[in-house]
Amino acid sequence: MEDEKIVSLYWQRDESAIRETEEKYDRYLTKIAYNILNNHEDSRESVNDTYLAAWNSMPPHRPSVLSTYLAKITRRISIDIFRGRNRQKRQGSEYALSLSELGDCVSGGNTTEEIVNVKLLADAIGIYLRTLPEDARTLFIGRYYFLDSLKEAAAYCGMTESKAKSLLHRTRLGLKEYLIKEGFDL
Amino acid sequence: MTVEQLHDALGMLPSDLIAETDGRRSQGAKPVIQWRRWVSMAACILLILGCTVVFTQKIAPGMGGATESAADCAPQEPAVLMEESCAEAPAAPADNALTDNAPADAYPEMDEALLCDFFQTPGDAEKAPEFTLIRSREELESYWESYGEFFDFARMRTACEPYDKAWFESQDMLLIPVLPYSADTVWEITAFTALNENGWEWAVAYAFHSPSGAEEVSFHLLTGVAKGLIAPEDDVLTVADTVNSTVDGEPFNE
Repeated sequence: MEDEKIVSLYWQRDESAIRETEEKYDRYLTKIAYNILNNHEDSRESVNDTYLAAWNSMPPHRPSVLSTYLAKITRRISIDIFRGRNRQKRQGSEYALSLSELGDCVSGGNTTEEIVNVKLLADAIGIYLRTLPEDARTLFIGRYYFLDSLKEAAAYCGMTESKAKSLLHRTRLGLKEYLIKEGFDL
Repeated sequence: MTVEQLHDALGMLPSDLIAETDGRRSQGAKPVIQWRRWVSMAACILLILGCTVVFTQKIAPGMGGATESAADCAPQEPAVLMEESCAEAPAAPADNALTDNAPADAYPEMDEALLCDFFQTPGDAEKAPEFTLIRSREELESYWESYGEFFDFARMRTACEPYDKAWFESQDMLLIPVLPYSADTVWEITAFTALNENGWEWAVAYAFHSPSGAEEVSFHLLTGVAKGLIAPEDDVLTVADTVNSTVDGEPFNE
């Protein structure tokens, strides 16, 4: 079923909207959740919570690209679940790996004293990413938003893992320089 | 700022950027290509393709010195592999686009066995990967399908009939599109050396004739390499400056 029709079902408060969403996007959302949580049970919980969040948010939202809208929800829920875990359960996920990689970009300062406007930061990152060649941008978003493994991201970007690793490193450094130039306190 | 805050910010990226990446993800794995920047003849950066010591020994005497040094630089193991593969390789198909089209006196005398196959493929050479490793007849067909909107492959399809399933059992094919040159340019393979533990440096020399009024057209070069010699997932194919090319009969070096 087309996204537009599924969204209409949500707006009509027709419960078949969830069934249609699950049929079309369950595997897609589970992959995103698993990249973060590395655990089937927790991934299932995250995806189910996504369906509930979708039901509660449409209306008023009417996304034009349902996959992107749902992916954002799943990503946020999964990261929240991850952060609630103990240290042992955090190991092994692509999200955990990405945290160490993105450490290139920030200082990890004392957040109790720093106030970071996350929305402004997101806007700045978006502007920076738009300056990049498409391959570099796709690789960065694939690795750090969708949290695909380096191997997977390199594959759909059509490059070797070593090239992808090198490109991501340069992109992270470029992002850091850009954020400093834009006045962010890293 | 912490990395967690950075991740939270990533979660708020514009939807169009997310959708763009998601579109690429849904297309699945793409062939790994090594894009390099082509430099025109005037800028003097040429492709260097490798051949075996057996091939280089047959090259015209004037060009022997540099190719010998290139072969000498190659680690023994890959040179041995290439010798074996070249010894077993079938002769290039007799139907050669070059001889079909060129003026009778346009080319220096050269042993035909040295020539890699090359075909006129009118189109935009920059639209195709710099190198493509073809491992089966199916992959060759797929290459034509993928880039058919940028090149006229009609001549190449006909001439490549001998490169069938049996040919690919013992060899892989290296396919290289080249920028438009005069249609009376002659291409040959001079050397093939190992760049490092996971890469190959290719060298190709050419005999170029000053613009003779012939129409410029893109070409595809192909050569066979020992089956499995190049690992497309790991090996890096690089461009290096070539030597031993000639322009209007005179040696040409950068």
